[in-house]
Amino acid sequence: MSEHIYKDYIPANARVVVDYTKPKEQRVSFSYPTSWDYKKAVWKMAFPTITNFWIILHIRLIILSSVIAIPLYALYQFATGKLTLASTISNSPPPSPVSINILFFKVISALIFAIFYFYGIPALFNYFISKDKKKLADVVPKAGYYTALMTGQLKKQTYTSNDLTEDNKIVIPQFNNVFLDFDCSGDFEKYLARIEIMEYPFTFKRIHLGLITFKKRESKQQNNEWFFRAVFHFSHKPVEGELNVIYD
Amino acid sequence: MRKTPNNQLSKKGVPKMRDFVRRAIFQISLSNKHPINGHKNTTGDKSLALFGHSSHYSYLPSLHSKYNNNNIDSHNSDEVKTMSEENKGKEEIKKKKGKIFGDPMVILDE
Repeated sequence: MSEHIYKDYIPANARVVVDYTKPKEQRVSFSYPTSWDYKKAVWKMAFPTITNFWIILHIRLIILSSVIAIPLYALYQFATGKLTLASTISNSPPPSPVSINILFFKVISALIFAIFYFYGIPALFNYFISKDKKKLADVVPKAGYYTALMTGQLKKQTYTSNDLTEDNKIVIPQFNNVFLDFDCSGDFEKYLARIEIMEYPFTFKRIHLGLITFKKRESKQQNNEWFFRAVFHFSHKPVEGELNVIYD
Repeated sequence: MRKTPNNQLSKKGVPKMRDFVRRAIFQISLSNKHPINGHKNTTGDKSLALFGHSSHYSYLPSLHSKYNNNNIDSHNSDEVKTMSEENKGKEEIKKKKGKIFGDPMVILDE
C-alpha cells in the first residue's frame, strides 16, 4: 500500500473532489471559490495559518512550563536552600522617577519585541517559504492541521448504513475545510464513488452603519466563499461496514 | 412555534401538562440523536413527527438536492455511475482511505 500525494500550489480554501471512478491521474481535482492570485493567497491564507500555529504553539508551551517546569524549578530552589519564604518578601524602597522611566522603556521594548516575535517571525518565515511553492504547499496544510489538533477542533465520527440519505450520500454539514481523514470498511469501501468538498451555494448582502452618516448601507451581492461541507457519494446503499472520519 | 392542538388544551385554553412532559422528553431524545446526519428518524418514535420537528431532520437532503441542481461547478453535474460499469477493464482499488487538507493537499492510500 503506497500513499499518493496530490497538491495544488495556491494555499487557499479549495474545493476538493476525489473521484474513484476516474483513472489515477484525474482522481483528485482542485478548484477555488475565491479568485485570488498566488501572492494574495500567500498573505491572506498562508500567513494567518502560520501565525495561528506559532501563537497556539507558544500558548501550549507557556501552559506546559507553568504546570511542570516552574513548580519543579521552585521545588529545586527550596530543596537546595537558595529560595526561602523570607526571601520572597522584599522590603525595597519606593521607586524613584528615574527608575519608573526605565521601567516604562522596558515595558515598551518588551511589547515591541513580543509583536515582532509573534507576528514578525511568521511573516519573515512566510515571505521566504513562499518563494518555493512546493515547500509552502507542504507546510501550510500541516500547520492548519496541527493548529486544529492543538486547539481541540478535530471531531471524530463513525457512520453506518443508517446514516445515509435517500440518495446514498453521507453529509458532513459543518466542515471548516481544514482536515478530513476518512477510512472505509466493508460495503462502504466497495461502493464509495466520490468525495466532494465544496462551499454551500448562497449569496448575501452585508448591512452596516455608515461611519459618518449612521445610515444603514448594503454591500454588493456576495457569494459564499467560507462555509463548506463534505459529501460522500455511494453508488449503492452499503449494508455492512462503516465509515470513520476525523475532520474539522 | 407549533400551535398546540385543541384536544391537548385544558378548559382554560392552556396546554395540558402531558404536552409539556412530551415536549421535554422529545428534547432529551433529540439531544441523543445523531448530531450530524440526524435527519432520519431511525428509532421509529412517532412522537418526533407530532411536535413539528420533522423539518429539523429533513432540511439536509432537500438542501443538497437543491445544491446539485444549481450546477455552480462542473463537478456537480456528473451523475454517479454504478461501479460495475465504471470498473470494466480497470484495476480495482482495494483500500479507500486518505487524508484531505483543504489548503489544499490530498494524500490517498493507493
